[in-house]
Amino acid sequence: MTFHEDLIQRYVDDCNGLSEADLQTLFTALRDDPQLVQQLREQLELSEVLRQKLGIDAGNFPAQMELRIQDYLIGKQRREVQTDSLEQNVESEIQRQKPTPPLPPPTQSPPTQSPPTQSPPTQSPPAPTPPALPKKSPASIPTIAVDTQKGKSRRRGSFRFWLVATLLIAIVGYYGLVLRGNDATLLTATGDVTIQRGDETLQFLPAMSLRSGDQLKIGSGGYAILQYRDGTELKLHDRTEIKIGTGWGKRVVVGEGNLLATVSPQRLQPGLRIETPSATAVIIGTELLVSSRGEETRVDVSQGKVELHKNSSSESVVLEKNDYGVVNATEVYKATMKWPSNRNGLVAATVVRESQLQLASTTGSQWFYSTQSNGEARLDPNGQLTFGGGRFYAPEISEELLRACRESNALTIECTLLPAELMQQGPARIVTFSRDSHGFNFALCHEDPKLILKLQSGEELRYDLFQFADREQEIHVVVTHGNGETSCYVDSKRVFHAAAANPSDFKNWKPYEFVLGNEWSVSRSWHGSLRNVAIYNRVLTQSEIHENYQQSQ
Amino acid sequence: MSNPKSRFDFDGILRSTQQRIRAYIAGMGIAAYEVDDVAQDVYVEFYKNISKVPADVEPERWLKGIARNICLNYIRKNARRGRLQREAISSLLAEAEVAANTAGNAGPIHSALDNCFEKLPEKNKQLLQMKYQNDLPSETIAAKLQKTAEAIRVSLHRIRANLRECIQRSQEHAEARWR
Repeated sequence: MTFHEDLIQRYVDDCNGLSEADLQTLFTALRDDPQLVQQLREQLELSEVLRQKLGIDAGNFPAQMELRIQDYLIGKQRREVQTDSLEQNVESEIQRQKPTPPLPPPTQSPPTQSPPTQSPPTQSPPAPTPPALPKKSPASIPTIAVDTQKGKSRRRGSFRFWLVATLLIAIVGYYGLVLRGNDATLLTATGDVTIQRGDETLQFLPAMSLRSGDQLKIGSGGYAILQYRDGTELKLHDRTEIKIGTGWGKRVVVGEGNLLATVSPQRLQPGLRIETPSATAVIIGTELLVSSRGEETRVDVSQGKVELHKNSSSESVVLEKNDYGVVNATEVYKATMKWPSNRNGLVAATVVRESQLQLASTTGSQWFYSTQSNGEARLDPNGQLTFGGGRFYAPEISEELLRACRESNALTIECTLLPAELMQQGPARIVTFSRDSHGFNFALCHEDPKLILKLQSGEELRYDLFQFADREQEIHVVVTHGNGETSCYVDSKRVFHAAAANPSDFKNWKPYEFVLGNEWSVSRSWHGSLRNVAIYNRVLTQSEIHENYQQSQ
Repeated sequence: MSNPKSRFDFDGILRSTQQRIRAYIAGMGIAAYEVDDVAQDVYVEFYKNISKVPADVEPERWLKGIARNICLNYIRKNARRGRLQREAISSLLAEAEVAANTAGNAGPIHSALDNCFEKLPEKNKQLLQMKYQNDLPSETIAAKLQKTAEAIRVSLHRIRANLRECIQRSQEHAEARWR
């Protein structure tokens, strides 16, 4: 293989990965050899065609495009409403000034068309001049003033009549849609759910309609699902209080708690507004998690784009996929958390902040929990934990882990690991919520060459999940347990499944300690490296597992 | 395809051209994870000016013209290093596409690909799946298969070259049947 071929292959592999010198060499080679250019182009195109054929999400492009066009139309409509109102003001002003002599002609002729943001293709014939349309840009205002002269007034009068009539119909239709858009239905309410309408407390009926001003309070262990006409769905977690907002469009006020929103594209309506005491999120079409804790609000975006505004000032941030934004008394900030993008029910996930290992949480009363370490346990700046007899532990998260999992009776443990030895004894603890050999809620362990799960779920369960075969290659492991069923996924492929005789039940769980790499009070040390550890109080779906796997690579 | 004048036409054009336009964008040297973002920009631009597309110009040709400009702008603005070289390479690649079109190589390759993919040996299919389905970098694949990243890139290059030949043969065969 020649040096140039190697460069071409690296460029196809990752065109952002070549150094400046390599790019220069590649350019020179391509310039001198048209066949090489052709070969590179074919490889790049075929690589993309293969991605389209085999990639998990590459087939969604038309749907993504639909959303993008809707966003564009909404933006355009807003701009038009603004310029229409400006035009009407000018028309009123003209009417008021009619007895006075006509205005002098404009000193500068208006542009015939707005400059294109994108120059037309160089190899294409020039585009024909577009048909003359009534101008809506402020630059066309002087033309209206000149056209009030005699001879044209009759035609323009008729045009204005139709313009006003069309505008009226559009406005009535628009606000009709907006008003109807605020109708919400309470699809499901389970557990301790209170519905308050004024002074009256309502009994929940399936698919009951809610009105502006209604308040919902979800107690411990309960949850509710709210749906709008357009399919927008809000999942209200336990210990959450919301109020259906009054006024135009869909508005929800969150007093306290967590809300997961899956928002359908807002075609002709203003975006869904979710307000907390400290912040407002305006959503056009996306999936996001809103968490409100006293004066602090956090928004995690899984899909789409969200504007997050601080209520007491003009500060705001725009959040995109994998971003989260926080509004508190002193600041508004955003950050990106590339893994995991699925944060609904995320009790704990390892992150590195200020060179320390911390646990991020969207269910807890804090966004981040600190950790400590002892013995031979190291953290590198990329979040890799290396264990040689020591442990990382997190006393602060234990209470939240116990509460969250007891309420849901469901659990997912996720981590990426590489054992230093295939044969380990103890069983050696990798991720554990336990006290010692006898007292445990769950423990993901390594014994002989096997990955095993010990779990309290109504009874004491023990499963051999997977056999380690390689200590050179990291593996991504996800273990789920819910409804009595346990599954294990390695590199997003299911390798184990078992159903217990009884449904999942964590009521016997105890306030033990969350520890990585070892047992809490005795030594059951695991030797190897670990990163991206997450605990959810729900069962992740296979597609979510695949997504987390890809992100953790 | 008729000249698009409405939203309805746009949907039809989008569905019939998006795969080739995305491949065209990748062929300009836009990274795989950026291709769809750039393609969205291309179609929005097309949508905005849909009434300006001349009647005698194929929408796909017009879209490729827009894509070419947007790709060059994108590299200009976003290239982390070697901006000038990336831009120059993209310009060369754009010219190569014109040549390919003249040679009649821009036919629908997706259906031919399905057949050719099925004919691949199992281990080659597996390698493509690791690369494109699991989105693994060559270094990770190499570690899994106990090979070097360079060897993986060479294998992928050969598999793609073979697929390309197979697709070309299929297309020629299909054309011959209609003569």
